[in-house]
Amino acid sequence: MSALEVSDISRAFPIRNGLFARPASLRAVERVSFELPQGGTFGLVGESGSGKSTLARLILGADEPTDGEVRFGDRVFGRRTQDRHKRWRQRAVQAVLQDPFGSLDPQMSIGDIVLEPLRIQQHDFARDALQKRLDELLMQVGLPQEFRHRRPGELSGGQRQRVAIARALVLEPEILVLDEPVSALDVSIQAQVLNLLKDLQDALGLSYLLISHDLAVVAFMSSHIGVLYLGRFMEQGTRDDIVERAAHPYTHALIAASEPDALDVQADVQPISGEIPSPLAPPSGCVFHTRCPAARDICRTDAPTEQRLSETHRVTCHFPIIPQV
Amino acid sequence: MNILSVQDLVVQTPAARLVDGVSFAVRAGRTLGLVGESGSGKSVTCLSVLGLPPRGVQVSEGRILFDGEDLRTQTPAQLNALRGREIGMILQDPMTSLNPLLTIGRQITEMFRYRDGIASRAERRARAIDLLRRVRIPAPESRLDSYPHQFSGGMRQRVAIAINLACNPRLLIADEPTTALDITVRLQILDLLREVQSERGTAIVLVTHDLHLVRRYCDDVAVMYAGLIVEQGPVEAVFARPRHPYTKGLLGAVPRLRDLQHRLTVIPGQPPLPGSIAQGCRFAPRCPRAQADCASTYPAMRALDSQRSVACWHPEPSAAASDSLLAATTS
Repeated sequence: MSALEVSDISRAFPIRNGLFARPASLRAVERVSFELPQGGTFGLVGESGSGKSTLARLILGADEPTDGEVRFGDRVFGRRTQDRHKRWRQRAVQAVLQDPFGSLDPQMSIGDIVLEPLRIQQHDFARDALQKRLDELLMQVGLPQEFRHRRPGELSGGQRQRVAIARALVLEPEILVLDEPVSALDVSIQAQVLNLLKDLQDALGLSYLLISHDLAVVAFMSSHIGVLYLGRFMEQGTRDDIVERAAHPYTHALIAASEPDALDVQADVQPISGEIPSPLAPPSGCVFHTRCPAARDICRTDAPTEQRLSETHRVTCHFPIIPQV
Repeated sequence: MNILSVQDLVVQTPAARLVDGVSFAVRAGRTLGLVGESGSGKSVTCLSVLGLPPRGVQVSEGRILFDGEDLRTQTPAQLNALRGREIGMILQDPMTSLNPLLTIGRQITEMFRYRDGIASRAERRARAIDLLRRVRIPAPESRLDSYPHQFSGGMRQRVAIAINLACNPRLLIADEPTTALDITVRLQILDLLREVQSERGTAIVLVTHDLHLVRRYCDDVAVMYAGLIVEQGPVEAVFARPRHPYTKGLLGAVPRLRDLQHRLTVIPGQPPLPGSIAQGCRFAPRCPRAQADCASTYPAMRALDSQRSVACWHPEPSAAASDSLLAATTS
């Protein structure tokens, strides 16, 4: 049973460069499909311009896809089916974003920030029921009760992220979209927040969609991983498919960059060069060919199609690296 | 031969001591990683070495020896001359150090004009193209007339390195030079720095919060906590067997790709704010090994061997000690 199923979703933004320029489009997300198992974590890893935040917005319902659909159980959201389950999605799918300061109103008390979504969704909540819910949430995220009267400015980065998590939990959601939840935090605080997210998942049976540029964080948290590059999946599979049996040269490059000694271990894998091309003018053929150490002629002209390497493991590459058994 | 030797440096605002007696040294051709979390004083230390402490912040004690000369006794004009030639710096986002209104070419060539007095425009331009080519900026002839915003973050950092190369510095201070960059670009920039270093024997101080980068690019490491260095030594030794509980905690808090754990090791609590620091060891309130004496007296830095030192009353056991412990329990 999947908590979330994304099929063939695309999002293109129309671009006009000038009055007489031919209308073009920025294809931020291109035909992406994946499943998030109930109670599991799907990790999306990618660098800037990979479309990971656009994908998050499509799943939250903050933006609509130009093609494809997002399905939560039997609730389907496509181009024309937006309204029927909108209220459900507003409650059941919540987000925790990167910058805990930017996402909290500096004027409001912590208590009001956490309870605000509940007040908006259900006006008839009794006062003491609200306070009880607040007590419970502060405890769950490990904040002292007296914090309810403080303001975001008085809190450290890690504490603010705990407030953002409490606020995301107040409506008893089923899915949390975590968009770079720890990138702004110091190492020791990062570990505290990651552990907290794992504990909450175990206690509340939540499903997570985790978005990060850091493959080590994604591997620590996720049961399944998708590797995005310029809006397309290069590779996806279980955590072990990606970390232990990576087939795409880009995944290998990410692994080499996240593991200090990996380059020495896998001497046959060359580091990649160059920079991420502009999503406005993606390369022809395979979008990764401009940086790929293994690129050949066909990669420059033909886009590869997705291949299944196993039940769970899929790669989009003309020349995937298949480990010799 | 130490290019830079900082001794008992104290940097403070009227209200608080941000750096409270820090000592370290870097030799030619070596890289020292200065690691710590936000507020640990690592950036303030570097800016003070450069003679550019933030407004309201002052170096009040200690010596900053560059090539044996104390920088604190130099006049601002002398410091300025040093910074242009002998000491280079690379900051987190070069967008803030490059002038957005001038082309990249203009910013590089003005250095040849005013510092080196090269009168010929063509000559200055040729030198700038040569520099950009050395930091591997594609098609440098055409990029000279671009503005900083037309470069990606990685390319801007290459320009910053190019400008530093032109100075041929003996000491390079790099403050989180790759933090704003994508991960696959990060390594390219650091590889480039290392290449430059091996060509010229530059001494580098790399300030970072990223322990992976320290392991990969530094020879020595100094770990800062709340304005002090708590552990120092060769990277290999410190990473293999950290002796300070804070270093050990930091290393355990980083998720590792191939090491499946259900939970990360956590350092409970948060670092103290400057000014709120009590006497005694500053890490004691968060330390799993803390005992009564930790709260009363600050442990001075002491040598463990010829290369390593630690500031802790009850350090983690050394390899030899834990091996004999293991032997005792198994027998």
